[in-house]
Amino acid sequence: MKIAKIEVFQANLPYSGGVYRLSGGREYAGFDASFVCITTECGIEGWGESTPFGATYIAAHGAGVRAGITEIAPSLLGQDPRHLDRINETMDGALVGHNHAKTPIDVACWDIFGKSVDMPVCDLLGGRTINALPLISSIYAGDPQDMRTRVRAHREAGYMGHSIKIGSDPVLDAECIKACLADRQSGEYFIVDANGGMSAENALRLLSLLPNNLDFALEAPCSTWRECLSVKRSTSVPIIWDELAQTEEDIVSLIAQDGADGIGLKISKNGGLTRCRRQRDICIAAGYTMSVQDTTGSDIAFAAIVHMGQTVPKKFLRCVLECRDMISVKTADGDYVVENGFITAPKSPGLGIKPRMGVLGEAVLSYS
Amino acid sequence: MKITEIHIYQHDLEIKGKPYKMSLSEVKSLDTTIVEMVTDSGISGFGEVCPLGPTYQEAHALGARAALSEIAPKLIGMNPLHYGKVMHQCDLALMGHLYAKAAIDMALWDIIGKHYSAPISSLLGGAKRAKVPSYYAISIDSPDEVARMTIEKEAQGFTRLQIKVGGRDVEEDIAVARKVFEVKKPTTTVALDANRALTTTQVMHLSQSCRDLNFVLEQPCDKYQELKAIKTSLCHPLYMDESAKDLPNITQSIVEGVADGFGIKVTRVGGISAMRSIIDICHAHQKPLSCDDSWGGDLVAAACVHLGGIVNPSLSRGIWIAAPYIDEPYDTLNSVQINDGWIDVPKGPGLGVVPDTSMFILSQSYS
Repeated sequence: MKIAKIEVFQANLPYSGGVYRLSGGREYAGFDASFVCITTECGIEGWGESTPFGATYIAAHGAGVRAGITEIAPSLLGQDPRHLDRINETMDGALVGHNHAKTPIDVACWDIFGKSVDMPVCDLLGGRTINALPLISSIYAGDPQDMRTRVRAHREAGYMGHSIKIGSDPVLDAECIKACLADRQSGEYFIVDANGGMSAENALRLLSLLPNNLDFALEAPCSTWRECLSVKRSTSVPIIWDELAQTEEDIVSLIAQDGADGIGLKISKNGGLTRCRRQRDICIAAGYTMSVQDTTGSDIAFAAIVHMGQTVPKKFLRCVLECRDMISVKTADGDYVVENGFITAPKSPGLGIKPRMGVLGEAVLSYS
Repeated sequence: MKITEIHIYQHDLEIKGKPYKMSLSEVKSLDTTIVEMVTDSGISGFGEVCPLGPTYQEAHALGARAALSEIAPKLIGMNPLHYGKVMHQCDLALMGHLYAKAAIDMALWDIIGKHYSAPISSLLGGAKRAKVPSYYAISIDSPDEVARMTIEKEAQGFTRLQIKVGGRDVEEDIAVARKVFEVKKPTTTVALDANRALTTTQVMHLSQSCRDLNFVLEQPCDKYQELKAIKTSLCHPLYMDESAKDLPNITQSIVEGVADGFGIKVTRVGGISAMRSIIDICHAHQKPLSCDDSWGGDLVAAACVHLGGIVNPSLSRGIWIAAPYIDEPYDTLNSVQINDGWIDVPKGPGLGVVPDTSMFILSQSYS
């Protein structure tokens, strides 16, 4: 089997809630998404998506995704898309780094592989667990009582996990956390996510302002390794790494330095399903928990999240991100039905999605 | 003063002579990006970034221009003299991509120098000497060829040589090192640069086998963790290049005792502003460094030389510029060139180089 054609589509995905606010004054009203369609000589099509969270969440942006694909795509023509490790080696040989550009290609190859053997991607990644996957909400920073209301709305929709965004001021942040956890129900999981926006000093001030019976994990308190390690060593609250854990090397270093208790495994940040599989296994070996997410994205990105999440044993899985909630456009159809806050990967071959070509429009780049 | 226009140009720098070969790649022509920043006071500043192909480090020419397209529109109307504010605006527009931001930073310093009628080295505290030593990087080759080049480059005045190794049987790298030390002058200093290609086992074997040869090992392995793991098993000082990605990496490697010195690429770490901090840190910790870039024309070369000029001579390990591989200078009058192994610190205002933009292809414009 050989790759005959690689096409790239682009779409602007408006944020469903108006303006998304992150620590450090970062605001996003919409997201620049890139979609890759790979077609084999035998006519099988595979799809993947890479949608950076604005241009200031990590070092990734929409124009950079497409610049990276331009660099990589020609070297993949004629290769066997089912040989995923070889595909990734070829990509690394064409461009160092740039996980966000390699991800949609990698995911499209897994989609093809699944379709070619009539198996869902999760079964190729190790086999599905019996669990339905709990979804995690994304509660953007705001007024404490407003945040509490939004947590409640997600709870009523069945969500068992909540990601609370903070990072403006320790006193206000403490109020937000207390408000969001005020109505906590049994079995709920809370991540307090600063998205790297705090100094180590602010993080420690925040933690010392909180009563000691709140059950949550603190994610990405600071923007540098040194600060995050310092916070980890000064607190009994579990620490989750996200933006700073992007590669196998990062995760191995993190484990060696006992720097975390878990990571946010984001498909496009961490380099696609092939690399996420490797990172998943490293995390399981280290006893780290994972939430399976993406930077953001529409239906195709969500499909990759669900297939990866479906392979993580329950003990290590801390929710998956329903990124479709953040987007007001639907880019593909498939059997991805949320039932009372939980989702299960479809049993159809590959990712099990059918793109809406009317939304994706004409290809902006094409290689054959 | 206000930034009124930003123009981004593309230019192919053809390599003079045979292709430039490193352990993991070979290049014949490099795609460079030039930034022209126009102000309402009539002063224009220039900056440049030229990744050494897409696989030398996490940087590529298309990515640089994609990043600049994200950033440049957001800088129009800002005061270029307030370079810290402008660079902060760059960070608000796009995370990371220091190499692309370096071209902006360089153009800002060029404007500031022209505004105050001073060369950039003077704005940075003053060049400590009027000319700085370069070094020559000898491409991967057989022991005899590398030995021949060693003698040739010494005759041309070079006092420091960087010998590229890796990507082949390590015994051949060892043979190259031995041969170089047989023929070189006692005063010539040597760095063996593997550009990330060796495994930890290979480096330890190479170092143990050559313990009688006084060279430094530059970036032998790919990952910082690998360098850290082998540091205490080596018989040679360890310099970091590709792993010295930014200020936090550099300070960490000093604190953890991993790096004995650095080969710093000006655009990789974010430009002149970032380099000034790095040079201060290296001075404070007595760590030698070279001020280089992966590639580039006269603009990148001028930036490297201004920075090299402010490094204490006792800690300077030379300034590498791509000039010997480039036929056509951007500025025929003030082109930055190596003469007898040394480079004059430019005396003109700003970078001291004014490119002829008619050589370049205009890629994007913002106003």
